[in-house]
Amino acid sequence: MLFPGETIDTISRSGTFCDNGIWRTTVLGYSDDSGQFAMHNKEQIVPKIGSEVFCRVFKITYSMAQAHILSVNNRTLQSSFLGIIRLQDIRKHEVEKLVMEECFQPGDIVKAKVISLGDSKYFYLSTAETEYGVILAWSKDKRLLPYNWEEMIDSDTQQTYKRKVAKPLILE
Amino acid sequence: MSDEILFYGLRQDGRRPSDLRHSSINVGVIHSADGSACFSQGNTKVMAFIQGPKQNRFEKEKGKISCFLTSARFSTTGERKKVIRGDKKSSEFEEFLKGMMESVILFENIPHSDIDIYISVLQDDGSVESAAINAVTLALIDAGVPMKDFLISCSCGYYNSTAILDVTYTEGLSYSVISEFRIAVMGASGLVAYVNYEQFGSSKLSLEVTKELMALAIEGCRQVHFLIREFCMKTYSY
Amino acid sequence: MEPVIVSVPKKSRRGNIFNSVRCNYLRNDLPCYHSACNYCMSSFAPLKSETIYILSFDSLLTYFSFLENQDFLAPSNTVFPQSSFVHMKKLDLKLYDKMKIFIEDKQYAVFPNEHHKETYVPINTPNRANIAVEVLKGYYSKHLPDINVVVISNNLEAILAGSPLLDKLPVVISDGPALFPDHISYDQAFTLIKQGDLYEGVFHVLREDRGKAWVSINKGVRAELQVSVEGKAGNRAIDGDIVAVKIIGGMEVEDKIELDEGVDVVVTGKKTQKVLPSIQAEVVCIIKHKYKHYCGSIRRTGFIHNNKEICMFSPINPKIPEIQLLCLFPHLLEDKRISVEISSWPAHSEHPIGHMVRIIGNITDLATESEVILLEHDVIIKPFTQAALNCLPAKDWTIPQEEEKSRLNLRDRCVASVDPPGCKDIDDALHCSLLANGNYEIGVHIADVTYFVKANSSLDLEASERCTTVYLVEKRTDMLPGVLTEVLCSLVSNQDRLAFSVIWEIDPKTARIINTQFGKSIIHSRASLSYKTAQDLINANKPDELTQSLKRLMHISKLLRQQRIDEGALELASTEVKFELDTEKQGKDIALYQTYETNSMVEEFMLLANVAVGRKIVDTYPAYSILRRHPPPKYPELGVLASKLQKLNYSLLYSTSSELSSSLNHIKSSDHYLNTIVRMQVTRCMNQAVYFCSSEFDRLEYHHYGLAAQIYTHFTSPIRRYADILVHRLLSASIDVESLPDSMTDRRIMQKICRRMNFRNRMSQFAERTSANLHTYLVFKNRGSSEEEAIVTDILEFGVNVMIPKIGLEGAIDLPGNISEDGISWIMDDKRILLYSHLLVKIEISFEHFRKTINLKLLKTI
Repeated sequence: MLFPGETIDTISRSGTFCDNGIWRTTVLGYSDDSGQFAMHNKEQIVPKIGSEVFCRVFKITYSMAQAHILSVNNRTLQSSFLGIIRLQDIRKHEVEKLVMEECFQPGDIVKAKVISLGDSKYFYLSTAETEYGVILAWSKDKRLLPYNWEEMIDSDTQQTYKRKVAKPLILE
Repeated sequence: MSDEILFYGLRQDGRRPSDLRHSSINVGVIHSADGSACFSQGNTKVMAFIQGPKQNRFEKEKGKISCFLTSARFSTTGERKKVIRGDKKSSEFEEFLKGMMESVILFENIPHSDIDIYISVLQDDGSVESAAINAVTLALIDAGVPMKDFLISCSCGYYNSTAILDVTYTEGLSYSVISEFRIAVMGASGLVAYVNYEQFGSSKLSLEVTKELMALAIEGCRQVHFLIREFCMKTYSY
Repeated sequence: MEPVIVSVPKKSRRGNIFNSVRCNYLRNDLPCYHSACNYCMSSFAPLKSETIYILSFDSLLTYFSFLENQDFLAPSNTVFPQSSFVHMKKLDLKLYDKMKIFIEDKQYAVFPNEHHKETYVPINTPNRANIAVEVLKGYYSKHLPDINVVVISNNLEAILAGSPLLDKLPVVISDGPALFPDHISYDQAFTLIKQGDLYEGVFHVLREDRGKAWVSINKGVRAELQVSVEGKAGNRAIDGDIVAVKIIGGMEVEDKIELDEGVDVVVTGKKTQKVLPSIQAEVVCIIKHKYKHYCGSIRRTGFIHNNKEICMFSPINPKIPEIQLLCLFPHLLEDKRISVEISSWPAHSEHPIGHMVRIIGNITDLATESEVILLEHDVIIKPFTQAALNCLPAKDWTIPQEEEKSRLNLRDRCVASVDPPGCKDIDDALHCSLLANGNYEIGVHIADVTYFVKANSSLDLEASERCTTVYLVEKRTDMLPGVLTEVLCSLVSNQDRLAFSVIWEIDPKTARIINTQFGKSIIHSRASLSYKTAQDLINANKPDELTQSLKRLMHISKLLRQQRIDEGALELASTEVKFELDTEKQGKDIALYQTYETNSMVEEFMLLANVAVGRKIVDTYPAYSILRRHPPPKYPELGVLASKLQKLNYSLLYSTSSELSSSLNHIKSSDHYLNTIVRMQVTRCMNQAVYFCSSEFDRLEYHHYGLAAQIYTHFTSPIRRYADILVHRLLSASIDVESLPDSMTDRRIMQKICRRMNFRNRMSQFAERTSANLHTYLVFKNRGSSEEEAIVTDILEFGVNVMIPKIGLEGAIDLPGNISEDGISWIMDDKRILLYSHLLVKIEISFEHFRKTINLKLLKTI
C-alpha cells in the first residue's frame, strides 16, 4: 500500500511525480508484481498541453469554434472543460482560405490536441494534423460518414457536407 | 469551571492522558461528489467532500482551492447555538486549510483547474479542526487528487503540568488547559506542516512545555496515520 | 477500551434544556490496588488487609467528618469508589473538595469504577451512588476471593462497638416540636433569588450579642446592602454561612454602616458597639454551610440520652452558638479544649448538634491554648506531607559546581546580617564597600529560597497553602520545613550561602542611586548581628571593615529616610511588646519593644530593595507581577479623629500623605506619649495593605500610601512569606536566569493566590495579637493584680477607652456618668476625664466560662 508522497523505485506512467530526482506517488496505490506503480482508483485528470482530447463543438463564430472537452487521453472527465479551436489552428496550410462553417458545425465531435492552456477561460485546441478533426457529425439526425479530408457524406442522399475531417482509424 | 481533567490518572471519559478517542473512518459516502470522507473521533464527526478538479474560472495560471466550512446547528456539545456561517473562527480555519492544501496538492499535474473542499461538522466534541484536516485528506485521496504528501492532524492540551492527547470539548473549556494545541504532520515525509494553539487568558507557553506537547502530538499523529493506513488497506484491497 | 455513549438531558445556565452527549470508555486494564492480587501488578497498592471496607454513598455523607479524625478506616483497608466522588460533586462542592484533599493526602485507594468494564453502572439507574458501591463489592469479591469485603452503610456503630471512637460519630437526631420554621429548598430559593424576592448574602453575627446579626448582600443589588437579622429570624444560620434572606421591614430607610473587622480575642470588656442596619430580614434558606471545626470546652449537664450524656460545648469564638454534644465518655473531655464540628441543626432543637473531632489538650496548658489560637485563625499546623519533605535536599548539601559558575561570587564582600536577637531564619544581609571612584557599593542579599523550592513541586504547593510563617510569642509555625528555614536558606555567619542580591552604586553625599543591578550570588556572611550589637559596633567606631561598612550603611540610610519622609511617607507607631519568657515558655515579664537606629537602617534598605525589585518586575511583566498596594486611609474616620484633636487645639490635616505626615510631626505636648498615641490612632484609620496581581488594578492604583511609593512589593523575606517567593521567581525570570513557570502567567491563578495570601496574612496578624494578649494575661496571672498608669484614648458611650503605654495594653473601662456634649470628655459625678489625660488603673484577670479576660478598673485620675 502506497500513500501519496511515498517514494517508489521504478518510474511509472501515471500517478507519480519527480521531486528533486526522487520519484514519488501522487495518489493511493500499490506496487504490483513487476514493481510498477498501480493506482487504486482513478487519478483525477485534466487536459494538459499535448493531451489528445475529444470535444463537442457547441458554438462557432467567424474566427473560432468553442467546444466542451469530454475526455482526455481516452479517459472521461468528471467535469467539462472549455476549449476553443481558432481558425489558424484548424490546419497548417492555406489557413487564409478557411471558412469556419466549412470546418465545424455545432454538435460535431472533434478529436483535437491541447496546444496551450490559453487564457482564463479556454484551453486552446488544434486540429492541424491529419488524424485530428471531426470524427462524428450529424445532419438531420442522420450520421455522416467521412468522405474525404474536406467532406462528409450522407449515405442515403449522397449529399456531401464540408468539414475538417479526421483521418479515420482503419482497423486492421 | 472547576472540572477536573485528570482524576487519579484517568480523564473524564476514562482515557489515559495519551489515549486517542475511538475513531471511525468512511470514504465515498456521497457518490455525487468527486471524493468524500467521513472522519469521526469520539463524538466529533466531520464530513468532507471534494469537487474537482474542474476548470479554472479565474485568470490564474495555478489552480485554486476553495474551502467551505459549515457546522450543523445540533453539532455543539453544550447548548444548541445559532451557527453563524463565516464567523471569525470558521473563516480563519477555511483560510488556513486552503493554505495548507495548496502546499500539498500537486498543481503541476492538474493545471488550470480548481478544487472545492466542503467540510461539514456534524458533531463538535473538541478537536474539530484536526478531525477536519484528517477528513479532507481522506476525501482528497478518495477523489484521486494528485498530492505531494498527505496531512495528518492531531490536537493536545496541557493541564496541571500534564499533556493530554485529543482534547474533548469539556476539556478544552477548562481554563488551565492550553485549550487546543493543534499540529499537522506530513504523513510520508514526517515533516511538521503546521502548529497552532489556543491559549487561555494571558498564559504563555514555555519552551519546555511546547516541546512536550509537540512530542505528544506527533505521537498522536502517528497513531492517526496508522488508523488511516489500516482503513485504506481494508477498503482498497486488491 | 469500549466506548459507551451517555446522553443526558441537562439544564443550561440560561435555563434551557439540552442534550449533553458524552463518551465514556470502559477499560479492563485498571488495577485493583490490593497488594495480595497477583493479577493486577500495580505499583501503587495501598490495600493490604484481609478485610476491605467500602463506604456506601449515604454513609460517606454522614460519616465523612468522622473519617477525617480516626485511624480505623485506614488506607490499608478502605477503598473509595470514584462514583462517590462524582455524586458528591453534584451534591456539595465544598465537601467534595475537602474529601478530595483528604483522600489524596492520606493516599487512600480510589477505584475508578466509572471507567471499569465490570463495575460501570448505567447512568439512569435509580439510587446509582449506592448501587455502584454494591457492584464494586461484587467485583472485589469475585476478583479477590480470599478477601472479605464489607460495605459500610449504617452498621458503623456495630462495627465500632466498645471503642472510644464512638464519641466521634455524628448523632442521629430524634424528633420534637419544631422551634424554627423549615428552610425552603435550594431550587426554590434560587428561583426566588432570580426573581428578586429573596437576597443572597453572608451571615455575620454580632460579636457582642449572639442574638443579633446582619447579612451583607452583594448580589443583585447596586451597592452592598446590609440587613439586620434578629433573634429567631436567624433561623439556625451560623456566622459565615451563605444564606437567602427575605426582607420583612424597614426597606424605605437606606442607611449605610461601615464595617469594622478589627477583631480582638481575649481583651477586655466591650468595644464600640456596631450599629445594626434598620432593614429587617429573616433567613429562609441556608445556601452554603460554613464547614469549620470550632475550638472550645464542654460543660456537663448530667442528662442522659440513649446511654450518652448530653454536654454543652461553648466555642471560644463568641459568634458561634453553644453546641449540643452527646458523649459516651464525658469524663475524658472535662477540662479539655476540644474541637467540634456541627453535624446538623434540626428544627426542634434550640442548639445545633455536633460531634467531637478531636481533643486538643488540657485547658491550662499553654501549648493547648496556642494550638487553639492557631486553629481558630485557620493556620495550617499539620506537619509537612512526605511528598513535600521529599523535595528537600540532603542535610549535608553543599553548593554544587554549576551554581558556582553561574552565580556572582560575592564572598569577598563584607556581608553582615542584622536581626532581632535569637533569630534563626535570617533572610537578609547587607554590605557596603567603597568603590574606586568614591561611590558606595551597597548590596542587599536575600536568601535564595526559590533555588530549593521549585515551582509547582509539592513543597511549593504546600508553602502556597500556608502563605506565611506565623509567629506566636513562644513558638513559630513555619511556612517551609525547618531544614530550609534554619539551615540551608538562613544566611548565618561564616557559611557559604546562595543569595539573590540587589546591588546599587550610590553617591555618598546625596544618596542618589547611580546604578542598580540584580543577580543570583554566593555570599559568605562575616557576622550575624542583633540590632543591639550592631548599634554597639557603630557606637564604638572601631576601624575594622565590618564597623566601617555598618557606619556607611547607617549614613546612607539616614539620607534615604529623609528623602522618603520628604516625599510623604508616614511614620506610624504600634504597640509592639516583648515578652520575657520563663523556662516553660510562659510570659514572665512584659515590656515595650525597644528599637535602635539599626532597626530603621535595615528597614530602609529593605524598602529600597523592595521598591527596586517592584519596578523591575512590573517593567518586564506588567500583567502578572505580584505587588503590594496600600489604599488611602478611611477618610471619615480620620475626620472624626481630626475633629476631636481640633477641640484640644491640635491640628491634623489629612488630605495627602505628606500633609498628614508633617502635621503628625507638629503634634507636640509636654506629654511625650501623646504623639505616639495619635500616631497609633491614625494607624487604626488606615486600610490594610494588600497583595495584588498587577492586572487587577490600574497602574495609578498601585500606589502604596503609607510608604509613599508608586510601586512596592515584598522581596526581602522569602523564608517566611510566600509572596516573596513569587517575586523571586518573577525577578529571576525578568533578568533571564530562569523561565517563568506556567502557573504564574495565569492571571486567575495569581489573583486567587493573592487573595489567599491576604487572608492568611490577616489571620496570622490576628493570631499574633491574640497570642500577645494571652501572654499578657499569663504575666498578670503570675503577678497578681497590679496598678499601672494609663492614657485615655477615646470616649465611648459607656465609659472610656484607655491604653497602658508601658505594656501596650488597650481596653475599655465601664464608668458611671455620661459623655460630655463635645464628645471629648467623660463627666462622672464632679470629675471630668478629658481625652488624653492620664489615669491610674488596676489590672485584674478573670477566668469565666472558659474565657480568659483581662479587666481594667479605674482607680483615680491623675
